[in-house]
Amino acid sequence: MWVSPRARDIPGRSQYMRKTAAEDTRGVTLTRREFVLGALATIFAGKCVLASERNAFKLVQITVGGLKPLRDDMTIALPQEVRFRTAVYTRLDRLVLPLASNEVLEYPFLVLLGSGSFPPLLPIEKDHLSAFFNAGGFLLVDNVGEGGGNVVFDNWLREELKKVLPGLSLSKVPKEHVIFRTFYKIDVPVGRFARYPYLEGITMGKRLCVVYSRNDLTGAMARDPFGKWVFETVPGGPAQREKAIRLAVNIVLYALLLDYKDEHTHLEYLLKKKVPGE
Amino acid sequence: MEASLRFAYHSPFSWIIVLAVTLFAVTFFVIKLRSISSLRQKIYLGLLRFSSIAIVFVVFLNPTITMQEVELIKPTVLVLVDASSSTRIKTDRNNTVENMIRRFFQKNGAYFEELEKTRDVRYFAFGGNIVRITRDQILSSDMPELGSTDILHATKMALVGVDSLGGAIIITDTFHENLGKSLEQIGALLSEPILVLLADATPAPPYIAITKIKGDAFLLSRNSGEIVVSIFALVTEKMDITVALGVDGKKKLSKIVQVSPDQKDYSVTFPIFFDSSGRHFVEVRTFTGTREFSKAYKIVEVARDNIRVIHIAGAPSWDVRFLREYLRSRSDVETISFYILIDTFEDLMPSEQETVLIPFPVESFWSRNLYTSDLLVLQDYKGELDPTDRMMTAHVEAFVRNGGGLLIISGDSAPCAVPLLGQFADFLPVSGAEICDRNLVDGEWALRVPENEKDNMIVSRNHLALRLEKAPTISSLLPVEKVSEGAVVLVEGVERGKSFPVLVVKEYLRGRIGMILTDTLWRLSFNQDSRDIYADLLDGILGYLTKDPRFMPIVVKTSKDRLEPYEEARFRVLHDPYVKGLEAKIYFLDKNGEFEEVSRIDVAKDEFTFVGREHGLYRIELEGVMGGKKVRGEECFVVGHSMEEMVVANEDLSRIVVSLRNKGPIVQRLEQASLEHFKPKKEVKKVGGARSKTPIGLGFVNLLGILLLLSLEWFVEWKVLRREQATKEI
Repeated sequence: MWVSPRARDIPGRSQYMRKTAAEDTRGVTLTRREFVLGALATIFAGKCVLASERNAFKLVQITVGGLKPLRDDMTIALPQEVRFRTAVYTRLDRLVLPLASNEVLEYPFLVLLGSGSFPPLLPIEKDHLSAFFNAGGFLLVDNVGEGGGNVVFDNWLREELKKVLPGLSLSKVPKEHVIFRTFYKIDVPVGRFARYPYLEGITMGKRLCVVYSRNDLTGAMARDPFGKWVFETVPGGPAQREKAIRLAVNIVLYALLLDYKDEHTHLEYLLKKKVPGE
Repeated sequence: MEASLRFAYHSPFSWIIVLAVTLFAVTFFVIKLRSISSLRQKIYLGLLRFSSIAIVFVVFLNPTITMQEVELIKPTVLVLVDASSSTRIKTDRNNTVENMIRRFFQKNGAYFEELEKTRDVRYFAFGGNIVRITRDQILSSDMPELGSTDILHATKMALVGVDSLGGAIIITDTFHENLGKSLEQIGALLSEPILVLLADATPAPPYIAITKIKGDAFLLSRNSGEIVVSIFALVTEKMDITVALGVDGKKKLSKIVQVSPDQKDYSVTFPIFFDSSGRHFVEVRTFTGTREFSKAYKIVEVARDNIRVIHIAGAPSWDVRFLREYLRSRSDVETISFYILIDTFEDLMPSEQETVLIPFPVESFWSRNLYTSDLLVLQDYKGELDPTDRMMTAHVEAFVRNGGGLLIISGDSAPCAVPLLGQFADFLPVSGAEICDRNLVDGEWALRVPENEKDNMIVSRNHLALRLEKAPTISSLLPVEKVSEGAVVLVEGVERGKSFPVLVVKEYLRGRIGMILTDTLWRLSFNQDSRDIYADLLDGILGYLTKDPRFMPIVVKTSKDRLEPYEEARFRVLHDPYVKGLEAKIYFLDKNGEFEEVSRIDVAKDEFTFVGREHGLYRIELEGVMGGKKVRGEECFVVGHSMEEMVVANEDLSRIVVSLRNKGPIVQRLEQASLEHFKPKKEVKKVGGARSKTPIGLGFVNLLGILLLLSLEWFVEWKVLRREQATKEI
């Protein structure tokens, strides 16, 4: 196992270390308020931070058409889980931005939660999405709807993505795709639900720029202000939640590493190719 | 001065007319003469008439007198004396061909003295080129040491400026297979007498010569290759000789070869690894414990393979992602990445079955694989604190010291970016002390190239300096107050008038190091308008750190790897237009293995020449100034004979002489040479100077004179006839 025996001195991490893998253990979350206060303290301390704000992974949720963001009263524990399980440094807060805002173009990873009917994308929203993809951005779309809401959002998404990315459309991500092994080995993608045993995505060039889950992936990581899981994962229970979290970790690491793991299939060959003295 | 009389052409018809008229005039006169009784008068009149007819006849023929200046010149006799490296090989009787030649001239001194009186004798020493010498130099063994033998080329060069060749004497010791062909061609070239004298240069055994050094057809940097050395050996008993290979002045390998009397040619193969592209010099020596037999140099061209980059990241991040994408976008870059994906917290470690983590081959990587790459990128990597990392820092330092490139990019772990490397004095462009206690600071920093670095090749291509000023800002920076000595700040970040270094580079011995003191440079790539700025900036950094020739401010090119002694070599200089004050220093590798300066030349018009006289390896260092800093370029070349020159025959010289007959020239053995058969051409007339033509035919004055003469003749004739008539009447 390749590890880095490095201890990080990151606020809140020591509390994370006490956490076990059990699902109902109270974890630690930083609410947005706590984070802001901490950040202000940091500012008055001279703006020195351990890591760059912009280089860290940040969960940025976009909204479209002026709609209220879904699940803004919950914490989506994705950054926490990524930080807890990997060496990736994450900002623990979630930022919500309208897609029409220029600020979305500052972040390479965006999440869109959807359910039910959405208005057509505004021209500015389409322009931003197009520029975002062309610049190398990654969009995770999570269909959190159930029943009819799931289908309606699904139809809307396919329609709008065709307008933003003409000539490209959502298609199933093959099981052998590197996204299923960027960190964990994933055999079947799940979320809060396990209705759709696949992910869909759009590939630009050689990279997936859109990944779409219809299983309410973020729902499996939603916590209430007290830190309890908001939703049960059905039908697999805690084991399914763990799988969903692992899938989400893989998706984040894919966004950061792209096909890094594919390179390692011929790493040995590359290393042996030119060795002095042999 | 020479005079000659010429007559103009006349057609047969005009001759007929002239003869008819003459006949008529003669007949008429003879009839008239009958009337004269005195014989004396007849003779007198006859002479007058015939004289006048002759004068008319001559005038008709229209002759011309031509006066021409003529010079008598001595023909040139060329004496070409072999002064190649093989003439200094010791032969059986502890002799050398050089000595044999000197004795020949001593023995035939009177002949040459006499020849010099009647001919223009020019003496040349020849090898791969020729040098004019005197007979005294031959007699006093003060001949220049030239390189390889090329008789045909030497003959052609010696003929330059020769107006009239009387003959040539060629003295050589070379028996190689081209000798017959060369003599044939000389025979065809020259019709004058040529005498070729062959000296017996069979070396005294043991004789070991290096006859060829050959690299792989395509030697690539940071790749294994082979050097094959061919040996020629003449020995009387079996013996072990050592063949040693050195590269760029450093001993590399040696092998023992057993040579025996029944075999002459041997081949030795050395595996080789060049850690950088470009031109390298290879030295091969053959020796036993007590004696060195031969030494040879060869310049080997090592091509630049794909740039191999090893990219190690302390943690995945956007900065890592966009740098990786850039590296992967370059078709000439081969990237091997190792990203740390997990921290060790024992209770949180997933099992091997659940993840796809692979172990990092720590020991073999740092001690071997690193050296196969051109550039090591440590991004957001602080280094390990365990004992294996002591190995890492030592190898990273050695890697850079031997020509590798290192790029350190700051990040979350960067506050003490690879602190262990700071232990090496003058290693990091920014000292460990400067950065270890600092953290990344958030802000909005505009990028800018310092004014005095705008000419730097890394940031001057494609107006990069100007474009950087319009690029998006970076949002983090490690605020460093000062950089190490010798480091250059190429890009700085500016906020509210205060600036800090963002990109710093430095040379460390043979390698180069760069540091990027931000982890948000990726913002330039995550923007369609500035993505090319990001790529251009990284192109420049990569090119500089891996010594891409396009980023070398000065490149020296030579027309040949090996030059003959006394041959004028031309060198061309390619340089960045901002480089000024170019000066070339030429060094010679002396017996102690040290390079000694032998010449210094100001370079004008991007070209200079040099003539090497001593045999051996030379190195050129070209220095100039760019942006107030010294920049350099290097090249090396060999002066000496070709390796084939040292292959000597071991055959009966008489048989060789016989085989070379009928090629054109007269061929004899030097020791039995007889110069009486050599008969160079005698003095020749050289027509030159003024030439005048004086016609004595149909000119007006001539005609008038002739008319007066004729009139006088008629008058005299009339007087005589009248007197005769008067006498008769009385």
